[in-house]
Amino acid sequence: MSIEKKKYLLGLHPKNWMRFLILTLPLLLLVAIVISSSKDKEMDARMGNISHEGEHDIEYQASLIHAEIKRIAQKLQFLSSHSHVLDILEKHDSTAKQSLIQDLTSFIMNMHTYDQVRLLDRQGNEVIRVDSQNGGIHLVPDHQLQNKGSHAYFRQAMQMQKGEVFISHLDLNIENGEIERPFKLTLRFSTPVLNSDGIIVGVLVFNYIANTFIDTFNKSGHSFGEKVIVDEGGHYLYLTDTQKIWGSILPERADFTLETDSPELWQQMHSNRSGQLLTSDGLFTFAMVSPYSVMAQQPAPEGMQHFFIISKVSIETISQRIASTDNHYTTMIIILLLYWIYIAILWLRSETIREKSFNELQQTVSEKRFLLQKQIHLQEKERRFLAHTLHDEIGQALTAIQAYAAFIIKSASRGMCESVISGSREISTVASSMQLAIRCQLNDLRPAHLDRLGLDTALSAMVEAFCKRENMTYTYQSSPNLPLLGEELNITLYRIVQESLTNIAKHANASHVTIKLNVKDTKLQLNISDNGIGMSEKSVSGLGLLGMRERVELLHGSFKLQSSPGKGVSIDINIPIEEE
Amino acid sequence: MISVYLVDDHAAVRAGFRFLLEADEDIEVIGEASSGEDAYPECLRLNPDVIVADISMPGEGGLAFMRRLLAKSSQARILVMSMHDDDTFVTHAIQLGACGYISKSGPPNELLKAVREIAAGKKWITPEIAQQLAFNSGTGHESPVEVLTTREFEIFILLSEGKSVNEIAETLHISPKTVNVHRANIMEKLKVKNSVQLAHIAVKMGMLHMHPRDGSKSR
Repeated sequence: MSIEKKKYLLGLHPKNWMRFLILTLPLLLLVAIVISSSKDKEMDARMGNISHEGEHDIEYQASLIHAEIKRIAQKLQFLSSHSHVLDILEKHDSTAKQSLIQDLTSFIMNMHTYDQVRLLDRQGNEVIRVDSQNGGIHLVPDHQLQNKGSHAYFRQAMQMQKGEVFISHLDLNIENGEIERPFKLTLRFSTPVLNSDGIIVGVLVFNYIANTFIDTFNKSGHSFGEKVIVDEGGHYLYLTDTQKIWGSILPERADFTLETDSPELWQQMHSNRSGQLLTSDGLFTFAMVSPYSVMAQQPAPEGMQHFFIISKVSIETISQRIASTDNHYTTMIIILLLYWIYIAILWLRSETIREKSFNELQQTVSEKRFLLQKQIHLQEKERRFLAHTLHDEIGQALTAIQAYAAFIIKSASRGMCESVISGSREISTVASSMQLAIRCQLNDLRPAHLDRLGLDTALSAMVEAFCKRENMTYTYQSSPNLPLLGEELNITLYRIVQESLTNIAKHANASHVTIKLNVKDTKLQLNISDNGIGMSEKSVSGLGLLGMRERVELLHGSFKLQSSPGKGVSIDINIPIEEE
Repeated sequence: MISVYLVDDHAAVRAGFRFLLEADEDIEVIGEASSGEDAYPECLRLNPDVIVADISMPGEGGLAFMRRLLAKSSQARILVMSMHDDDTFVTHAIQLGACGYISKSGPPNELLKAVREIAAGKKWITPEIAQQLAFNSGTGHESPVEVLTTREFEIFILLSEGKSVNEIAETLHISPKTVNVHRANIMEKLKVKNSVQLAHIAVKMGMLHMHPRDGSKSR
């Protein structure tokens, strides 16, 4: 009759698993949606940040380059109006020349960014040339001075107004018709020198080392990616892969252009001064640098080139930056979710336990109700039986006795002695059977043996009588030191044995019954077993067994029934007793 | 010579009556049986002047026996002798065609008087019962089962004894369907919903279950 203790997964009843899913699934779904949507948004936002950073950086770099170009142009303009310059060119004043040379030398030394400073006369002959060489200053001797009349910077400057500046495109330095190596990226500035009559008497030229601002550009905002500079024709002026640069000048590299590498980007650069493009290679941000734009009042000469600065952020870098941030967010949500699941399981588990105990309680209550109902039925049956005895056995016998008595009176009045005798004998017979009936009934109501002879004798008498009636063999063992057990315990044990024997007679089909009654420590142990057909678990819920268990539990004892088909039934009862 | 047939399930009672009746030379007990079923063919065969029958007996019981016998032989004269002094039993017995009704708890000599009266073609009811019957009729003291027909009353008794519909059908030699119809009518007339309430009425009425089906005394 023990209530089965089933093991559930995580201690949850299947019904509560349903509840668990109902509690958790919508949340899971919600979290999934939030994560995925926020992930998209987050990624969008991150992506936006990256692209804004890129745009901002490249525009800043372009403005830095523009500012640098403007500063150089202003210095050139300043020098062109130097009084010594006119003195040298018009009066060939050697003192002024020495003074200017000193000025220019210190100028180059302090600036570090000028490769050459030259003064040319109106024929294009170099008058003064100061070179920067390996960190030192080199004044080119007069006999090494060359004529540069054919160079664009001279010719253009010769046609300019006062204050105007010519700016060459980014170029490699060419010395004596040879490209100087390592490549020296050069930007040439020139401006005309005018005399007081407004006639051009010479040209002042700066060779600016553009490597300087390229280095600055490259080092700046390193996290924003790889830096690239291309000229107007798409040839690389600057690139990490140095083997591809200078396709505009070196014929063998003419094929390396941005147009072939990223046609899409190149197309966009063609129509916009600045912009951005996301391709499978990465994020490209570009800005155009047009040197002449810094010269406010000066129109750009025809054919003047601009160039583009580009930053390229690779897809790997982008995804790394996106992933690194949104991991935290997802992890936090997942931890919260796991915590919620944990709480849900704990709660539902306690719910399962609560339900289980509730069910147990309900079962107990229904058992009790069943017992009570049966108790009422039994009481009715008992009463009916008593009524039957009173009516049938006693009432009818009395009727018979009255008939005999009437018969005897009649016979006596007629003096029929023999009839009186036979009538009296009949009365005696009826009275005897009446006594027997009453004794049986009384014995049923209250076992006489138990009161008079004690439990041990009463039990052994009952078993003996039972086995004789049912034609069975038996073993009866009882402990010799059985204490006085008290009336309640006595009648309980007696009734349990009686009920067990009734069950055995009705259902067991057994040939032998064993009853053992022992006292161990402070416990009374009763074992009743048979060798019958046994029973399956399903049938272990009959009224008789329920009643037995109830009787035992009332005395704080334990009731255990063991049986399986074909192996008989064994009942073990333990009841605590108080030694007197 | 008056021939008497005894129907009673108690051997001691039959023996006592036989002694008493046969003490008078003009009365002869020509046979006896312990149930209606046993008595029915014998009574038809022997055609006794008076049949003394109990009501509460195992099997079909006294009332059903009377009904069967009177249906076959309307001349049969039956004296009902019962421990029940209840009006209902008396009324139904008389309605069925009993010639007399005496209480078993009354003086035994009344039996002799009743047998002689009935043998002479008259009727006999124990005076106390007759008085009781007369005073109770129409005074509102009738028992609830008064509303039942005699047949319904028979079935009511059997039902309250705990017999099933099929058992009753078998006992009374009628179809279970008929029993069910009667049962439904009884329930309706007595305003009860189930057999337990039916039995309660029977217990209240003093119509106790006289013959437990099994003699076992298990609890």
